[in-house]
Amino acid sequence: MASTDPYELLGVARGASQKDIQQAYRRLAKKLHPDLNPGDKEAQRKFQDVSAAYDILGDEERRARFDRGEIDASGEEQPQRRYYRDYADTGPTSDTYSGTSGFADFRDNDDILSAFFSRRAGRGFRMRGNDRHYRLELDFLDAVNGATRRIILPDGSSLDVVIPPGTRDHQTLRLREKGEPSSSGGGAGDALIEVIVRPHPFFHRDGNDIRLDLPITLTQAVLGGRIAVPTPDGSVTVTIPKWSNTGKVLRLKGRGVPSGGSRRGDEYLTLQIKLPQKRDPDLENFIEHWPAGRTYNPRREMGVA
Amino acid sequence: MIDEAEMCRRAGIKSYMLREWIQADWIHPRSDLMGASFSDIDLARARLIRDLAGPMGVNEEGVAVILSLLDQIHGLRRALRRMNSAVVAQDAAVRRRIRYEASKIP
Repeated sequence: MASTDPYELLGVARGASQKDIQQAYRRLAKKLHPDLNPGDKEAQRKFQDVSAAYDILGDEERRARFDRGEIDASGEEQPQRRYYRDYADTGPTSDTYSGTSGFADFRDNDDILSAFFSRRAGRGFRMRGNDRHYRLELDFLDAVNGATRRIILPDGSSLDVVIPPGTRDHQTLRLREKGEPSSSGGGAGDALIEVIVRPHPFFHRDGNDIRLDLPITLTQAVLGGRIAVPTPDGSVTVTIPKWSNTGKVLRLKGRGVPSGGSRRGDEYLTLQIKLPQKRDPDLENFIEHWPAGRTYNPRREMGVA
Repeated sequence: MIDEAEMCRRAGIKSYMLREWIQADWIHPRSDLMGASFSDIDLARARLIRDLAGPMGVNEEGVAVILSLLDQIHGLRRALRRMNSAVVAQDAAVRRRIRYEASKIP
């Protein structure tokens, strides 16, 4: 078993001066420091022994206590230290610092060795810049139909954001390499833009479908007719069948939200019969003398008259 | 990730030292709106610099030279490790030829 006597470990006499002890430690540490001996497993143990010895002898007061036998050489157990070499050779961060520019001569021509050097040229540290997060409020129709918006960045520069058709509320758009530049020659981070879609006064989105309560007149409900109906990309003419009740749902195929590649959604119209705002004596007179209006009970299923 | 105060505490250094080392390009933190942040490799490297500049008595220029050479050594070690695994993956006959060719080089 190796000696645990700190004087022996440092190779100094018991009467050595503090300066001698420091010099002895430095000589050994430069030889044994694990990070200066990346491949030498033994170096770590030896360096720890030497360091523990210097912890005692390097401090005049502790050394005196050791000489008086008040403390022993073991000292306290230090937690296992992870040395730099443990990170620098392998693992995901291993090329954070190390570079291969010193071996550029190996990488000339078609030398097969070039395949073994990191493809990152020059000094090794090339961390990507940070992502930047933004929020962008959009009108409903701009989100459905797509749009381009310019956002002004804190540094005064601007960024054009293309909103693809069919963008959803709270969807995040990623603009590659539009984030923070790298401080170390790596790629810039991404700009992440969370889209907030303002509600629309009458369109509602349901997946890729659009839902809409469509007011119609009593005349259109009873006699049917062709009416203009709004859709996200303009109005279309729709035929209302005769005798269409409130709550009837009509589907306008392919008039919903465009969805990249797959089928465009549909628009669903829910009919709502609206009486004119102003009272109409003719209609009141007709209804007064219309017997069926008194015999039909739409609340029969509710069990009331 | 480790913040600056935690980094200094775990590496056993003063914050002005850490700032000097970052200034000298010896440590590369990630920086964002929250300030600088550090990873385990940064911490291990800071402890190495502390050892060098502290008890081992290496001056500033010496630390810079040592770090630069160490960085090259680690780059080289990674290249060697890659090459080794590529060689190991070959047939026995190919490995034999590689050994033979290597032995001819003085």
